Amino acid sequence: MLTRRLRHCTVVAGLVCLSACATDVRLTTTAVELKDTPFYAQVTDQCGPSALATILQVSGVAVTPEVLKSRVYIPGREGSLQIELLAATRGYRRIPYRVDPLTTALVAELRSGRPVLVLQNLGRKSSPIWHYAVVVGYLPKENQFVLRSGDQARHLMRVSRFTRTWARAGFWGVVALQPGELPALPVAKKYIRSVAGLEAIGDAESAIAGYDAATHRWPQESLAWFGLGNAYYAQENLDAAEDAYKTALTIKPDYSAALNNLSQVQADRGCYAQASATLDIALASVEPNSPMHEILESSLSGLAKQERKSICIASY
Amino acid sequence: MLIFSGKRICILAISVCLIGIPLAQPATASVISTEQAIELDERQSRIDNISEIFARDAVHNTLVRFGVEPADAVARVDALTNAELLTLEQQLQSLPAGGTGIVEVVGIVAIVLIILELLHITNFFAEF
Repeated sequence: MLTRRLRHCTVVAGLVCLSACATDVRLTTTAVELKDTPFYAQVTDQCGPSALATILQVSGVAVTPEVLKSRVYIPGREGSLQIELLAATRGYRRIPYRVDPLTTALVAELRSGRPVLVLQNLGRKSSPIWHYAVVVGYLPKENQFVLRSGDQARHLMRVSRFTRTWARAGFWGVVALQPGELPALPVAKKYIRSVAGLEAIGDAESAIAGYDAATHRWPQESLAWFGLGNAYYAQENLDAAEDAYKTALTIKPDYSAALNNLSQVQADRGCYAQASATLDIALASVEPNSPMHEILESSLSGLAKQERKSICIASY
Repeated sequence: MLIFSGKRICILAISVCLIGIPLAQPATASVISTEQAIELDERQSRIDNISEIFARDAVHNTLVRFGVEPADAVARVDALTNAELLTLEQQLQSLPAGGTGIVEVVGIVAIVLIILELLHITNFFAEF
């Protein structure tokens, strides 16, 4: 049986909480299979490192399951956490993007040339057998998905059976995007949040590419411009940061977070009066007692303590 | 063993310095990160959703019947942690959107009790 072949590949399942996920069965009729996707036969219980290496390789990262093992495998629990797979993906300068909980979303990614790392529960809800595999193909005639799974390079699974095992794992599926690359069915907030993960670990360069792609796809999405500003600020590129914050503010004039960060840029230039005026605008637009109000107040008091430069080199 | 030789202290000091380097931010850095902005934004939209539910006639009236000033309840929502806000919002989502049937009335009362409990206005459930 398949489960025996998997040799107890266990997964430390994180909090999976998705409600009202319907699986769209109206899949398209043409077959797709990413035959060049590498295969790493799973060693003992390490499906996480194997599956992650597979999608990273396709996105252009030369990494093997052995190397990943130390990053994502927890020997004591004989498995990998989803959150660690995401973190490791970011560590290799790739944007991990959660696909929508629909089989059509999987197929859309396949058609864009990206295999999808999925979590499956091959057991029951009450006695789960967690497993990571990579979806590499969809065969509508045969009504099957093609997976790199366990020790099988080309594992065929009926759509209905696959969907059940995927549903029991909360429809968890991830693609690894190159910075600047958008997923097949991009959702603005979700994509920007994924890029923000790279900003958070200090990879400003990749974050810039990601936010830049977002501003092109959704020019009216103020959060994308705000993120772009932050990534430029992290690179100490004040001019580019200021431009991006100002674009965000053109879209959303009372954007308090953007005003706060813009005031930082102004302060860094030595333009304290300007910075303080920017913070005043922000303070006027937020509720007193709100967390944002506190942040703005502390920025304002921080401004007073800042070491003074003699001149204000304003670019605008 | 808790013996710190000079050499060990030196290594420790160097390690601390090395750890500190990547964390060193410019003295002026008080920018709001994108992740932080998203969290703050979500918090605000949760508060807005909850306040909107409080403003519905059925909920408003039930709160008053329980002796709670709806404005006080809204003020207390602001003080909730992010996790508490999420719980409250999830509970409130199960509230029927309209109607005056017995199911809806029972539902509203149950939800209001949850609100009161979460907002620490009453210790209703603790008394049983």
